[in-house]
Amino acid sequence: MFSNKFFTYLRRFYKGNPAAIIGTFIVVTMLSLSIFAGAIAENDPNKRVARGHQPPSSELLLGSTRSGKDVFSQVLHGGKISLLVAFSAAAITTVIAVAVGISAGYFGGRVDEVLMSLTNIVLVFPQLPLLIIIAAFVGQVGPLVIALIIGLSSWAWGARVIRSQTMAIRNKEFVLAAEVMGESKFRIIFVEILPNLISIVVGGAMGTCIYALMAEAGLEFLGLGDPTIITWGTMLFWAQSNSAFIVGAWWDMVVPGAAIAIFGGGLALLNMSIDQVSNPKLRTGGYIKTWKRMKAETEARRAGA
Amino acid sequence: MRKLGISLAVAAAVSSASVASAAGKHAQGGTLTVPIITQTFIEDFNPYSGAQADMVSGTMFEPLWVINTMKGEIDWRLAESYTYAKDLKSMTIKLKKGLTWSDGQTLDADDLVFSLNLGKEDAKLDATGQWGGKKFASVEKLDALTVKINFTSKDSTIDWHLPRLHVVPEHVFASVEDISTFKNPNPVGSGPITEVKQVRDNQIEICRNPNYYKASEGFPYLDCIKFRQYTDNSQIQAALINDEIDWGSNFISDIDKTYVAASPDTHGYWYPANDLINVYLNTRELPFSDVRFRQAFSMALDREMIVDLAAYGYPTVETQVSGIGEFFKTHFNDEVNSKYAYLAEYNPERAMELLDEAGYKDVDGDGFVENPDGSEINFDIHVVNGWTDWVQTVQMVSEYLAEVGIKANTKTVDWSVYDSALKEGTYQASINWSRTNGEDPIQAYRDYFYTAQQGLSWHTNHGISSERIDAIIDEYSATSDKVRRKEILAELMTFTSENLAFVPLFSNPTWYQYNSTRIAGWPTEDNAFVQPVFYTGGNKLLVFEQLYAK
Amino acid sequence: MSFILRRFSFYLIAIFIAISFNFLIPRLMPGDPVDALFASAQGRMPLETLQAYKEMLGFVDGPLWVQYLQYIKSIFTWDLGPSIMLFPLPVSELLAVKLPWTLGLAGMSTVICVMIGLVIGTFAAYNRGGFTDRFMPAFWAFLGAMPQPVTALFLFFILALSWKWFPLSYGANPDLDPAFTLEYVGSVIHHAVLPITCMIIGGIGAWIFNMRNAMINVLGEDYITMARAKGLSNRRVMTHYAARNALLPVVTAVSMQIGFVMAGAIFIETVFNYPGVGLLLFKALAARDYPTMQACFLMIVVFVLVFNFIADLLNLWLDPRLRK
Repeated sequence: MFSNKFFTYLRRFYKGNPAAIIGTFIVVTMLSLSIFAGAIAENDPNKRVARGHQPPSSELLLGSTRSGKDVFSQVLHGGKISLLVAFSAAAITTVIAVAVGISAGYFGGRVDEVLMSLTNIVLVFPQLPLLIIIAAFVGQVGPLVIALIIGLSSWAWGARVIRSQTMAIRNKEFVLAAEVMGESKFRIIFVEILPNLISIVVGGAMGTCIYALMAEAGLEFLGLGDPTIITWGTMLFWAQSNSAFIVGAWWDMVVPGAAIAIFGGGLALLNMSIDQVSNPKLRTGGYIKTWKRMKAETEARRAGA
Repeated sequence: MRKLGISLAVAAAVSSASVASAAGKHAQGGTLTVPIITQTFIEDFNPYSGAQADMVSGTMFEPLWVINTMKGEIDWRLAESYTYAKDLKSMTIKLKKGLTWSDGQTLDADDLVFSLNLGKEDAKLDATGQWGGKKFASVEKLDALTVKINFTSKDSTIDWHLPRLHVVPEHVFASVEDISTFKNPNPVGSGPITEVKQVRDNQIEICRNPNYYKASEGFPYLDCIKFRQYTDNSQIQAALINDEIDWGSNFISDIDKTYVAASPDTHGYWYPANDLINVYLNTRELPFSDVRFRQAFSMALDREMIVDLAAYGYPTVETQVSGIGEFFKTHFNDEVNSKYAYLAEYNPERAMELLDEAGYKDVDGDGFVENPDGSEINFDIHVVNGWTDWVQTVQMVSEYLAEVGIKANTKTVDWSVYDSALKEGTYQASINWSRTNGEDPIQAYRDYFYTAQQGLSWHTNHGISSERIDAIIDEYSATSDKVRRKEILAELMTFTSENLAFVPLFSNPTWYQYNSTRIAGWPTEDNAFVQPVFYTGGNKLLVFEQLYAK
Repeated sequence: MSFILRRFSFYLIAIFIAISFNFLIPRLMPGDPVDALFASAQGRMPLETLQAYKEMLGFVDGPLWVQYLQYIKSIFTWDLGPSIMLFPLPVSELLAVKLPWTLGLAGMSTVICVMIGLVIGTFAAYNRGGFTDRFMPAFWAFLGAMPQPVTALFLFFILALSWKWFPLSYGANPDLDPAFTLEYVGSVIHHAVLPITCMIIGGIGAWIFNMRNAMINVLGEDYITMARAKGLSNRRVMTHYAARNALLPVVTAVSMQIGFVMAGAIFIETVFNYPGVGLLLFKALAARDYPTMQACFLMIVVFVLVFNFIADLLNLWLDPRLRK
């Protein structure tokens, strides 16, 4: 029963929605590549296996870095950490945003005022400079600390959106009915309200994921990360320190950049398609053209008749 | 390089002929464009404030003389000669006749006395470091062109430090309240380039001195120097490739492929050896306390590979462990070197044997050896976060160590941590420079072992020193007997090689790129008339003097 | 006008929080920050200036709240301390020079992004299912997700270094005197093309997407149907009814974006040696020049807040519902 509904939902989601299909494909592929990096990439990403800056060839699919390490292997293993950071940050952010947003929206009154003031303040702070200052003072930040800092500073927008949605749902009949029936607040929140927020929450989580991925890469590119750990961001850092483009070793820089771009793009596509599901007005696809054509025909017939 | 001959009375040399170079005069005219790494330019032309010292030292304020280590001779600038007293407790400096400042006023002993005395009251103005080092006792003016400096004790090495003095005009600086923050906006100088033409955030142009004391010989050939602002090396690399600047002094990646290939006729570089880069080990702690461990450390490294991969092959590989590098190769002692050269060779098998002999064995089978007492070996090698070629070097060093069973980590740290760890001797291992590019090799050993330097210098805190070493270092400065000096150096070199308090890696290159699209007269490997160091005022002056527009 | 007052006081609180953040951070760090500062200045700071800096930071004798007041006072008298990298240049002077360049960059690129986003988004919304609608948002999603440093370096290498169409560095030609002459202004524009292009590439995807969605939502509203029923021309409906209402969420989005944009400038300024606040922050970072870093941060926050406030005012103007 549950599985039926689930699969029907999935089918509706994917049918005629190329963005969703492509997006999911990209995300799943890259995730698997990273998780199974050890099995797929034969070279140890930390070992020198060739001379520096060798172009892509049959032995080294994506060439070698300045220190002669395998770029293909690095981008796969590095993906593990980069994606982990992105997902952790998204998780932290989502948890906080949901907690704050639902509480503010549901309980209203003082709780709402306090939480909203807090949210607005955090919202208005430009995040990258904040990240930079914190990272600079802390000295040198490993990926986990980066995930933490990003997670703790990016929840505000999501909280606001969740709050307004919660407020909209709060006054619907089924919630009022549950309250009258005496259900505990806890249960109401988790069973009645939260399920209706799933699409926003997931959408928000994905947005944060993309943002966290890029912020992490940005911080490490600036040299604030730990350069001895391999992530997509540190790969960019080393490529830049070795003037990859100028010396003609474009793969050193383009590969991690493309990894971020492709994964980010895939997530963005998924995000867009989720939007389309929750708000069907936003859908797009070939069927619209068909519909227009049919409509035009109908009108022509009416005019002609 | 001929040995620098220092005798008790140095005769007056002919003023400018000591620099053998392109003969004859050149037509005047042209502008040299030079990069400076900074955030923005400011209107500050005070050599003592430090803000834009590179722009003014040498070319705006000439030194008394320049010690040209590459040719082994002295190039006399403002001074005509110096003489040590027989008892080595004072020195007399004679200025040249007819010197003037750029505003027409006479440059004489008053200015020199004034400049020398600046450091007496204020440590920040002690450019030579001799007041702070308690070497200078007093300064007296003997006549309009002669100054006598009295020392606190016998010393024959003061002449090495005097080129660092900035001789500034008394009539401008005497009325300034706080010289270290004085901006000197309308500078009056003694060098070839003194008139400030324009000051912008991203460019400063300074032009010819109307009252230059060498104008009669046609110097300087060039009219102006344009200083352009950049924030890092890759921008300078791009600017060099596109012919926007003429003289670079920075690290350029893959220079043959990027810079030289762009225009092989006019783009060139020359990287003569500079100071020695060492990994300093804390010999007071395990596992470094046993000299055999340190020797194994040294033999585990493939220096050629490290130079090739981590530093593009630009530095000079070091093949001996005597404590000085290529820069001072004329001081090399072949006997000592050949005895200990094996320590600098890549020999991992011998390294592993040594470890075993010394009791460092792999007891728990994890692939890494433990200390003789059984405790784990796992140390950090400090390097500053952001110095990428050194970070890569240290990473390679740890990889090589791992191959012989020594577990080491690359620890990138903040500058302040790095700095204090080196000075306080709290590091386990740390990569750093050495004082091996000065005027004389004794400075290197003084910096490595002299007990009074501990805590002040980065290189003295490895835990190895001795009274005898202190004594002979002192003796070196107090004697001018060449034979005795050579003996002392040999003893120091042997001491260094025997104890291996630090592991030499390679000699830093002098970063020097030149562009002859518009300017000629550059020093090159074939025309090696001076060490092309932009950041040392005297050397910069000597290079600049020979440049002319094509 | 209570709306304005409320928003204004809100922003004031935010600024105070930023200032407090700047106040707390050095005190939370391990070790004595002033010592670290002195070390990073490599002893070049004279004792009096060190004292002055300590005073500015509030490290005077007295309980914490006294120190805090001291710090607030120095901020409001615009005494931001000396910069370490360029000692003894005061930070406030340094900032005054750099700020206009970043503002120009951020401002121009946002304006262009909005305009292009508006046009393409509206077009996509109006031609549902067409090529633009299906292709554009996705294409820009990928291009926008490419890390900014990479796109900047790519453009730098191809257009500036190899083809030499555009200059390598600076906000304007260093041989020209800054003045409102045609030559100088032309040089400024020439130097700004690549940096602005990079910023646009990075941000436009979101704009197109947001504009399209906003338009679509609006087009579905009843008042649009009403306007059509009244017989108004398509163009009038599009501009007076649809666009104007679609602008509301856009204006909100702009204000959100500003912070992001000003921060994103840091990568682009680094690559192109563009003399803005972002590059200053980056270099201050490398040099551990804490006074400059803190001042940059404060400056960026203040401007983000200012733009947010302007956005609020614009919202007020556009949306009569808020004027009650």
